[in-house]
Amino acid sequence: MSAPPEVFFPSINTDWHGHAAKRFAGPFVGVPFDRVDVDPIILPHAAIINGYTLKEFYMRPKLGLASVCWTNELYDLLPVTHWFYSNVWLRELGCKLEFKETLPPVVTGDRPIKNPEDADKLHIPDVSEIEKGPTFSGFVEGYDFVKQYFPNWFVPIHFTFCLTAMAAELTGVDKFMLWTLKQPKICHKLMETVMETSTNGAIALAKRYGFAMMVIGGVLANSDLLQPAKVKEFGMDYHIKHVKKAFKGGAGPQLWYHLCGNHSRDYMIWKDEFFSPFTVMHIGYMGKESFPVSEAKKVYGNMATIMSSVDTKLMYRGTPKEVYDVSKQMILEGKDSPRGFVHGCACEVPAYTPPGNIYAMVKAAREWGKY
Amino acid sequence: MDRAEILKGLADATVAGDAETTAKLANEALRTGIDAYDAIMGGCAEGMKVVSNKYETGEMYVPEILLSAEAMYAAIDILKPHLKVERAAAQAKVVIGVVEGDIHDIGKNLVRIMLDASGFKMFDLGRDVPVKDMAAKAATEGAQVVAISTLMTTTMPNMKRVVDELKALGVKDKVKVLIGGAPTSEEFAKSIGADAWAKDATAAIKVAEKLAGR
Amino acid sequence: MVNVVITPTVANLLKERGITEANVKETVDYGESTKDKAVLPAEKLNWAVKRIGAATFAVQYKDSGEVTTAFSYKVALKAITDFVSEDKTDWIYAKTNEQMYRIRADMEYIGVVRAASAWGCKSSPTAFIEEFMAIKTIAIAQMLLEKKKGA
Repeated sequence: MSAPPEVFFPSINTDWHGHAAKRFAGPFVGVPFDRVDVDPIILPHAAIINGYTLKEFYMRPKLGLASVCWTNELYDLLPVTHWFYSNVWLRELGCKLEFKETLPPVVTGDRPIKNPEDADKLHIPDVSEIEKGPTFSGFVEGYDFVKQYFPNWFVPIHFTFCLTAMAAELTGVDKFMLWTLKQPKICHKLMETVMETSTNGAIALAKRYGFAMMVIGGVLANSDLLQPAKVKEFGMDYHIKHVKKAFKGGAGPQLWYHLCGNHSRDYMIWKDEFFSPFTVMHIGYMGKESFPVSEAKKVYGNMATIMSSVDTKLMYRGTPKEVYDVSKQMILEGKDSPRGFVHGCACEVPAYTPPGNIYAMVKAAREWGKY
Repeated sequence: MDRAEILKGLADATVAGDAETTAKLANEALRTGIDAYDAIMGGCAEGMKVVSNKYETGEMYVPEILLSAEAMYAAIDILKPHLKVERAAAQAKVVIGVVEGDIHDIGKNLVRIMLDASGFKMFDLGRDVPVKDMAAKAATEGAQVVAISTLMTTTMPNMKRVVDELKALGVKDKVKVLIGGAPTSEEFAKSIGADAWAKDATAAIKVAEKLAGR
Repeated sequence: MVNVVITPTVANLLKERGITEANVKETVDYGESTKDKAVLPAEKLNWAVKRIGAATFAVQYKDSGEVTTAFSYKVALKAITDFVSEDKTDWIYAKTNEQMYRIRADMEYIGVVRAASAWGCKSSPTAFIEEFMAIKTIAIAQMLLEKKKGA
C-alpha cells in the first residue's frame, strides 16, 4: 500500500524489501544472506535529504518514518524504522521538551528536581498513565502509520536511551554528576524513577503491538564522564532491572545495546548486561577512535551480533574514499563474527552527512562483505 | 600554619573536593597576610592542575572534577574580593559558551572550570548562545579569547559564524577563537578561520594560555 | 519421591501450554532423583528442568508436591558460557547448596545458536531459564526464528 497523500513518497519496492529483510535476518538466524548489512542509524538525515527539516522529522512522526523507509531503500540499507530521540518519557516526569532546528528534542526550562527533597515528590506514571501521555501518542502515531502503510517494515522500537542521562535531565547534568558523590541515594531514586517509567513505556508499547524491540543506550554512562564503577552503579545495574521488568511485561525479544561515546575503560563491564537471543552489541569509541571491530568481536562476538562504528566525524567531514577504506577494513574484520555482524556508524549518522559517504559504506559492504 | 602549609592545604583540599577546608584555609590565608592572588594560584590552581592530570589518566572523572571545582570556588569566593585591582585587571579575559543551536554543556563547563583555575577571567555565556551575543561580548569586554564548543555536527557551521561576526565587528585581529567539542577537529578549526582547537579540557588550558600570550 | 499434585488451575495452565502431566512427572522425578534442581527454602519451592524430546520442561513445585507452574521451550542448552556472580538470586542449587546467580548460556534451535541470560552456577549443568523469558522472550524468538529460517 502506498503512503497516504500527506507523506509524499512513492511506495517501497517490495522486491527490494523482501531481499533486504532476508539480509537483515541473516545474522540472527545464523545464515548469512548475500552480504554484510549496513545500518548507519538514519534519523533526521532521512528527512533532510528529502527536502524536509530536522525539526519536522521529530514533530511529524509519520513523515519521519516514511522518510526513513524511503531513504533506506534509496541507500540499500538494513530495513528498520528508526525513529526515536533521547529524552523519551521525560515529559511524563515534569520536563519540558523543545523541538529545535538543530537538535533532537531537548529538555529546556526549569527541571523538576531542584533540590534533593524534590526527589520524593516524583510520581512514576503507570502503564495506563503512560498510554495517555504525549510521548506514547507520538510513538503510536508513527508505528500505527508504519503498521498500516509499511506492514513489512513493522518493528515497534522502545528506545530507552540512556537511563543515566534521563535521570540527569531531571535535575541538570552537572548537578546529577555531583550528586553521584554527594547525594548518591537521591541519584538512585532518580535512576529508579526513570527506570520504572521507561519500563512502563516499553510495556505500554508491547501491550499495543505484541512486542517491542528495546534499544538501550549507555551515553552519559561512559568513560569520558564516569569511572567504570559508577558506570555500573548508575548505568548497567539499572539496565538489567529495566530489561527484566520490560521483558516480563512483554517487551523484547530484540535488544540493542548502543554504547555511545568513549567506552575505553568500561567496555568489559557491559558483558554482565542481560542478554536475549536477539541481542546486538554496539560500542561507539575507544578513546577518540572508533571502537575496534576486532575487540568487539573478541569480547562480544560469541554473545551477540556486533555492530561496527564508523566515526561520525568521518561521515560528516570525510570523503567517500575515506569512508569506503575504513568500511572495508571494518567489514573484513567483522563479517565472520560468530553471532553475526552489521556495519554501522558510531552513533546516529549526522543529519547533514554527504549522501556519497553513506553510499561508500554500502559499496564497501557489497564489495568486501559478500557471504 | 605557615604560608607553605596553607598553600599546600588549599591544593590538597581542592583535589579532595573538601569545600569546608578550602574555605577555612582561604580565611587563614587572608588572616596571615598571604596575597589573595597567590592563594588562588599557589593553592587552588595547583590543586586543579593535579585534578586535570588525574582526569587525563583516568584517576578522576567529571563528578570528582565538579567536587574539586566546588571546593575551589568556596575558596575563590572568599579570596576574590581581596584581589588587588592591578592583579584583576591583568587577568586575560575569555568569553566562553556553547554555540548557538546546541545545549550540550558538560565539556564547556569543564573548560570554564579549568581556565578559571588557571587564572583567566571567565565570562560564561552558557549554552545555545546566539552568535551575535558571543561576538559582542568578546568585543565589549576586550576579551583575548573566545572559547566555543559544540557536540553536534548540525551546529558546527555556527562556529564559523562567530568568527565571521568577530570580523564584522572589526575585532578578529584582537580576539583569538578557540573551538572544541566531539565533532570538531584541528582541521575543522583551520577551515573556519578559528585560531586553535583543543581536544579536551586539559588541552584547553595550554592552548588558551598560548593564545592569550601567557 | 515426591507425589505430584496438580490443582485445577495448574491443570488449565498445562493445557494452555501444551504440557502433559507425564512431562511434569518426568521432570519432577528427574529433579528429585538427581538433585539437579533449584530450591527456594523460604518458600519450600523447587524448580526442576528436563529436556524431553524436542522441548525442555521446567516445573516449579512445593515440597509437598503441589505444582505451582510449568513451562516449556524448544531451544536447547548447548553450553553455559559466562557467569555473572554479582547478580544473585535467592534460588539455591540443590546438589551443592550454592546460591545461584546470572549466567549466560548458548541456546540452540533449528540450527541457530544464540546466547541468553538465565540463572545457574558453576557446579550446575543446567541453565534455569525464568518463566518470563521462556513464555515471552524465548517463545517470540522461536517464532521469529521459525519464520525467518523459512523466509
